[in-house]
Amino acid sequence: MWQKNNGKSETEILQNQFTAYLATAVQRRRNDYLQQMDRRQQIESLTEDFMFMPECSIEQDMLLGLPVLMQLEDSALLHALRELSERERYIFLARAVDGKSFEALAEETEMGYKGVASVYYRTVQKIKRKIEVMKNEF
Amino acid sequence: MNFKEMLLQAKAGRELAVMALLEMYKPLLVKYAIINGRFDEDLYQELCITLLKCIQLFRM
Repeated sequence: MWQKNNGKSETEILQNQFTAYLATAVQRRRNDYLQQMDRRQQIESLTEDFMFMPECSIEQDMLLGLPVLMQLEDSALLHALRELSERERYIFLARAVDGKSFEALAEETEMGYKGVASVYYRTVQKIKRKIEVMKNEF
Repeated sequence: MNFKEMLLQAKAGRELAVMALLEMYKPLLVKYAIINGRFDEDLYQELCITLLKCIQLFRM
């Protein structure tokens, strides 16, 4: 009944094409699934940490107090932040959270004012795009 | 029944052909449903759904 597929006849070529198509789709689905699992685990470990560390930071306090949808967005934000490079993350957080000026950052990182500013705005765009992508996944 | 007929019938929604395809591609799906050496049943289900979608979406 079963015989080796040599890819000679029309139906065999078709079968190979379908198998390749399927394999790609299956692989993508698998990657998505792994990513989702990763994110779920992250959220779970975040709440676990909170249970055992009453002194933990304000950010997590706020996160847990938020409605579910905002929590989702925040976990997407965390995920996006994790994917940035060290420099991008530092500049973004220093500017957005600590409120440092571009001048101070430029001095710290030994880049020009314009360099820091462009890294910052590019990072904001990147994060926006990543959050958008992750929202569509859910 | 050759593969082309089977795929056409599955596209048309004949259950028997769909089952045959599912059976045929089971080893592939099982292979991709293994995470860290353990068979993940949820992922396997997802991949079965992916196969069904692929049958519909595949253009010949």
